[in-house]
Amino acid sequence: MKKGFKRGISSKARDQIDGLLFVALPIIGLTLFVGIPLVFSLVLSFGKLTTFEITDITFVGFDNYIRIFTSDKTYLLSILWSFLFAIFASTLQTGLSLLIAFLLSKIKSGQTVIRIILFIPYVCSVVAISYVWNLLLDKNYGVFNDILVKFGTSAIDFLNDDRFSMPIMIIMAVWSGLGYGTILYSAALGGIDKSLYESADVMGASETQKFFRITWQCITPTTFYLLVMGMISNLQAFTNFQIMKPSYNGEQIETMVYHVWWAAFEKTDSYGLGYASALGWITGLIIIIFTIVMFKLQKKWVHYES
Amino acid sequence: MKARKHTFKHISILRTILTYLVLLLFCILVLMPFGIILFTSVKPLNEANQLPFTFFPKEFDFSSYVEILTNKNVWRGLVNTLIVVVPVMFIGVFVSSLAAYAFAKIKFKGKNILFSVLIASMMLPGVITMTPAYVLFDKIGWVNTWYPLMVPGMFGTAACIFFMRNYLVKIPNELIDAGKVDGLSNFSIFMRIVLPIIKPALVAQIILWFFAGYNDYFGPMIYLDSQNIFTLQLYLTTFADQHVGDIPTNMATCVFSLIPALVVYACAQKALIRGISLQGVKK
Repeated sequence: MKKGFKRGISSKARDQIDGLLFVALPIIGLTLFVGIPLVFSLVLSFGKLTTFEITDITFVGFDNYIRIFTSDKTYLLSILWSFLFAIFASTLQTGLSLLIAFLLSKIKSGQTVIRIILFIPYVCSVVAISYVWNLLLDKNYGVFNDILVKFGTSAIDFLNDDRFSMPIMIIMAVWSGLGYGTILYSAALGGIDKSLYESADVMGASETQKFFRITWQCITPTTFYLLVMGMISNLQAFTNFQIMKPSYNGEQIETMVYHVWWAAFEKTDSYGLGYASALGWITGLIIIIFTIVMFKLQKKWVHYES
Repeated sequence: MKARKHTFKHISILRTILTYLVLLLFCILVLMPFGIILFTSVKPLNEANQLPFTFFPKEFDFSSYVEILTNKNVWRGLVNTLIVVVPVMFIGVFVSSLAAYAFAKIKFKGKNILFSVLIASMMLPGVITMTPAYVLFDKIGWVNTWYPLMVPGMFGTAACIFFMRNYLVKIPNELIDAGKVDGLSNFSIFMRIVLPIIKPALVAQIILWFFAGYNDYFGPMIYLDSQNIFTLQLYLTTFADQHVGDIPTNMATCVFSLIPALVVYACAQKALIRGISLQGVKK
């Protein structure tokens, strides 16, 4: 008994040491690659730095932040574009994934194959996919225009046409994200307690009633997860916009992250790294605040089983 | 009564057919672009460059593949990508799992605070640290090397730790206690008892990491300048710039770059899909 007690103490101390040791690397990594840049970013955002040499920095107070909101129309516009893109892409991705997962739950065979096929775009690089869609949409030899011309309409320069450029970017994002949502929804639908449906059948509930009263309620956590994750990643869209260069009103559509990158690396001498850091902070804060709002609102419609 | 039963049966068959048709339509929509690039990549240049569009090539021309497969830069891009991604994905997932094990099963002071910090960091959009990280990496001479793409991952990621912890808390404590009774150290318990149990989750995380790394464009684009260290995705854009208008060759490069990802997906789809299914279910 005494021996066991003694071993208990030593194992407690061992746990303390081992626990800290095991989590040390990620915590050090977080400090080095997130913590330090985060603080440094805040410092930079109050300075003007138009080269990559830190010693060239001159501190300008809140000038960068004032400039963002008073004279950087492209950035303010990019906030609108990013939200337009993210809201439509995320809700359509989520909605269509639910439809597909629901249909999949109704069939007896072939679910796995269909799920595997739908997931393919998710594992493909955005670079390759952007080039593929560029080809499909090309004004001169793209398949979409081929179809249009066959129906007697003139060819459309999709990515430079105000009516189509943004919707095309949204459709492309939905196309690549369908499989992920479908898998999550399939898992959620499969996890619903079957007895709920049985008792609904006994009460004579219709299919529609069963969907909205049981299915929808049970999968709200998945819906929430997909919407939040979708919004966070789509609000940070970059690669597809950089490669496909959609335009509106003759000007290239920029997303928030695109604008930060552009100010930091494309226009270093006129905007610079200090300004880009300020842009980064504003962009980050917008996304964080939006995420927090989504989490606050979830209490109104998301049901977690206790 | 009998007639009504009949109509019911008819309706349900009709419904099944309709369901399959809709699903088939989605599958076609997803697969169609891949079919188009595959067939375009083996068209002669003049056929790819004109309307009417042909799905199947009238004439097969594999010269674009000859060009790519004999292009040293394309192969170098592939090898570079694998060097940058593969070792780090194993190290990163291992380090993350070990930390996740500590967070899930070991009692130690500071655990809750450290875990909260880690979770909070997941909320932080990367765009905030993008510019300063570049300046700092530039300062220590890491720009135009693979280090910025490799080193941070070796410390594990918050997302991976979070996922693995959720998986690990479900492991019964009895198994770990049994290891303790046998006099195993925490690390031996992790290596001999925990790792084998969490293998499915590990595999899923490693594969997801592979795709993220293999398909990454943003990081290489920012940090790499010299073509000889380009990753495949980055080289793809350079190649496309050099071959504007040569559609079959561009499509063949896309096919080339997609093949490794698709092969990995084909081999691991079961583990991957199971792993992703687990992601959404949070208790």
